[in-house]
Order: sequence, then structure tokens, then C-alpha cells
Amino acid sequence: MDWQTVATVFSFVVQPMSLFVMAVSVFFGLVVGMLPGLTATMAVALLTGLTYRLAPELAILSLVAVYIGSISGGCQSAILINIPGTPASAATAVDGFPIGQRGEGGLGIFLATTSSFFGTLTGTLCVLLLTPPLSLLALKFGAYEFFLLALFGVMICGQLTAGTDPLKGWISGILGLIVAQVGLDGMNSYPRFSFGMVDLMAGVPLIPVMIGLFGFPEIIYGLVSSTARTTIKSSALEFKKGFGILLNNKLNMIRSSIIGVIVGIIPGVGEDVAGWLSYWAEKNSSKTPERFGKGAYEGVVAAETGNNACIGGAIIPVLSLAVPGSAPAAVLLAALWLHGLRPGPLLMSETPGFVYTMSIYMTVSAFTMVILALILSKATVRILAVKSTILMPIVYVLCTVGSFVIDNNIFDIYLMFFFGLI
Amino acid sequence: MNKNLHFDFLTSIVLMVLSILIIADSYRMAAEVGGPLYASPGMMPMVLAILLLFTGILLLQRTVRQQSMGNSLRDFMDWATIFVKSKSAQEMLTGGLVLALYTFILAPRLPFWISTSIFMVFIMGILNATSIVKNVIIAAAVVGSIQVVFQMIFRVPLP
Repeated sequence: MDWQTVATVFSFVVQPMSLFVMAVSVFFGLVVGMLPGLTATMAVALLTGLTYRLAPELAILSLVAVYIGSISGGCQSAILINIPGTPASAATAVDGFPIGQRGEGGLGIFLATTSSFFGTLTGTLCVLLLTPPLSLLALKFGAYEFFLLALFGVMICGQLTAGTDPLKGWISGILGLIVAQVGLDGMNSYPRFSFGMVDLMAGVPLIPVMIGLFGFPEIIYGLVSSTARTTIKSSALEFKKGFGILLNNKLNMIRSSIIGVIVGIIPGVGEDVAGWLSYWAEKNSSKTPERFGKGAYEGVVAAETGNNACIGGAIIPVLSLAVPGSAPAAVLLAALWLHGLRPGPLLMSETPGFVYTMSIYMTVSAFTMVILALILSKATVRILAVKSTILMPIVYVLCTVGSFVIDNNIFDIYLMFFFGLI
Repeated sequence: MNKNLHFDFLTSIVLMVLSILIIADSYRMAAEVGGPLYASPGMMPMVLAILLLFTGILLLQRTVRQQSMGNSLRDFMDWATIFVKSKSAQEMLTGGLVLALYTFILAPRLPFWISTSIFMVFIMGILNATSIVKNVIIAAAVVGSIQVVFQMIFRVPLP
């Protein structure tokens, strides 16, 4: 292990500015994750724009923190209002909401948050252990293998964007490649599809497009379906009872972590599938499966451990092959490129310490997440009561700012709007 | 009736038209620049447009197998008639128009704090979010927070 890198990264992470940015990002992630309709992918995309001007280390720390926060935050709304904040927490709602209904919302949130923490740490350990050998294997790739890997990237669009209908996913992938053709071509400097607009000659920037595609539809949907939500009050966290339950679920947590990491490594699957598979595995191995769906603690523990372990799993192929394991990881990959890093086979030879950096960021973010989520759980759930007619205009303003700050170009805001309409 | 078939039908037509336009434009690029086709700027867009045309045909073929073109068109017209009259469509259109107003007129012409304050008070007023006084307070708090975080702490210019 490169102890010098580890020490340098730790000294960076404990600086007041880093701690502040990380805490804000985790909190932002928790809030986005808990709000139904706002996804982890959107959170990472939005923050990629907002943190573009920060130092790369600080920006990546912020993005990792928001990724972990948003996947973990979804459990609170799943338990208290039976609406998973993100698809990743869908399986949590099955048993989490009955737990909340019988007056144990605090205990449910404690179990879910602690399981998320455990899952994230296991995923981080796997990033540390599995990325170097995978990268070494990828270093043996030649031109044919790289071509096949790129083709594989396009093919997985079928699963990544439209799981049940690969054809539509491929159409999206091809449309994305066509959008990438806009601008001056590399050989003749011929302006392709620029329509005489100077702003388009440099090509279509990625971040405004991402913000538009992921954020805009949710904003419009939020403006239309402006419904008030009723929230169950969160009870005390019940640490002692919670730790007792977690100790009884040791095997459940280990199994769910393994499932989460494996699902994360498979490109195009994602955290929601990890949550459901872990839940299914625990239910099938239980001696009393009839309790599931009626408020079984094991169900919440399995789902939350699985979906958070998937974060580490999804980051492994990002770092070693430059192929994202899930939709938020795809945005994270784009953000790493934007900040001058080259994830993929050459990562271990060009920036060998980055795997340690990423693992430390994930670990510290996981600690921040568990502390913030538990301390602020009573306050953060109040955000669930905010009407979408208030929240969505704020989100749109942030989308506008995020699109603008990349190049200080007002044209990027127009692009964000245009791709949002699409 | 599969509720998405008429959308798939329309999408396949749009994709095919789009891909034919791109193929034509790619051919024009190749002719304009000259030289071998593999080195022309139109080469890659043409390959992608052919793939898009192929997937569009596949989508059309799949749709037509399950439902005739006439039925797809009729379903789409029925859906469009209901959608245009629905309250959610009107809300969506109003929301979209206000967002467009902010994006294309207010943000490029006015300083960030003025344009965003007007936008937030206006859209929350239209959507009956809260009382006018609360709308103004929320808008001021949001604009103030963004100014402090981005311009004062991170020193990032705002639109």
C-alpha cells in the first residue's frame, strides 16, 4: 500500500474546507435522496456542474459524498411516507413503512442508516481489493479489445437506460453518439451540424446536457403533480435495540454486501436491483418468510446494505475499465474525465494512488453520512413536507447555475433547456 | 391495447426522418470537403445515422406487428386530444413557459439576483405555492444563499 498517498489524502480530507464541502454534499445528497422524484443520478449531475470550478480533489470528494448521501437518504422517505426517495430504496419501503406505522420509525431509520454505512464500507473495501487486479488485466488490452469494450459500452445502453426494452436503450445510445458529432471534426476542422453557430463549433458540452436530461423532466413533473405529502413522525432512534438487531443480522449484512458489490460490478444494473436482490435473498433464507412485508427488520437491513454496497461495486468498473456500473456511476465517470482524470486501464499506471484516494473519500463520506443522517433525521424529514411548487423552482435555479458555471456561457443554459425538453 | 404502441409508432417515424436528414447532410459534407469517404467529416455521422435508421425500422416493424398503422395513428390522436384538454398538460405548459421566460429572457439580460428573484416570486405565485409575502421571503433566502455560497465563498461567477 502507498502509505504516503494515504497520509496525503487524509491530511487533505481533514482540512476544514474539505470537511465543510463533504458535510454539505452529504447533506445535499441525503435531502435529494429523501425527496421522491429527485434521483441520485440527478444529484451527482447537478453537483458536477456546481463543483466544476472547485479544485479537482475537492470536487471529486463532493461528488462521492453526494452519491453516498443520496443512495442512503432514500430510506427515510421509504420508512416514513412509504415513497422511496430513490429507486434504490424501493425494497426498503416494503418492510420499512410497516415498521414506521407501528411507531418504530426512528428504529427503522437507525437500522437502515447503519446498514447503509456497513454496505458502503464493504463496497469501499472491494474497490481497494478488486480495482488493481482488474486494471492490470485491462492493461493487456489491445486495439481490438478496446474497440470491443467501446462497443460493449454502447450495447449496455440497452440495459442501462431501458432495462425491459433494449432497443430503446440502443436508440438512446446512438442518439447520444450523434449529439457527440456536433462541432469541428478532428481531421478537417469542418463544423458538423453547427448551423453557423459559433457556440456549437466546440461541440455540445456534457454537463448542461446531463443536467437537462436528468433534472428538467423531474422539475416539470414536480410542478404538475404538486401534492402534499403526509409524514409519519419519526420516533426515538433506539440505539441499544438497533445494535442488537444488527448483531443478529451479521450474516444477512455480509451476504447483502456481497450481492450489492457483484450487482454493482455488472454494468448497467444499479442500486435498485441490488436492494431487491438482497431483500429477496434474505427472505428466501429466512425461517419465517411470512413476516416479510409486515415490518421485518431483516428486510430493511438487507435492502439498505445491498443498495449501498452497490456504490463501491459500481465504482470498480469505472476506475478499472471506464465502464460505469450504474447510472450515477456513469455521471461520476464523466465528472472524473472533466476534472482531468483518466479512469480505465491506465489509471493504475498514470495515477496509482487514485484508488486509495477514492477509497478514503468513500470511507470518510460514509462516516459523515451515518453521523449526519442520524443526528439530523428528525430535522431532515421535515423537508419532505416542503411542497414541490416551492422546491422545484429552487432546483431549476440550481440547474441553471450548474449549467452556466462550466464555461460562464449563457448558451449552455439554453442547451440545458433544449435537452430537458427532449 | 399497449399504451406505448402509438408513441413507439410516432417515435419510429421521427427517428427515420431524422436519420435520413443526417445521412443526406453527411453526404453533403463528404461532397463539400472532397477526398476519400473514410477521411471525410460525414463518415461517422453517416454510419451512426444508418444505425439509427435501422433501429427506427426495427421499432416500426415491432409496432406494426402488434397494431396497425391506422390504429396507432388513431390512438395517438385520441391521446393527444385528451392530453391537450387535461389540467396537468396546462400546468406543464404554464410551468414550461415560465421556465423558458427565465432561461431565454430574464437570465441573459438581468443580473442574477434580479432575474432569479422575479422568476421565483412569479412561478410560486402562479402555482399558488404560499402567500405573496412568503414567496418573496423564500425567493430572497434562495438568491441570498446562492450569492453567498457561489460568489463569496467559491468565487464562481453567476449568470
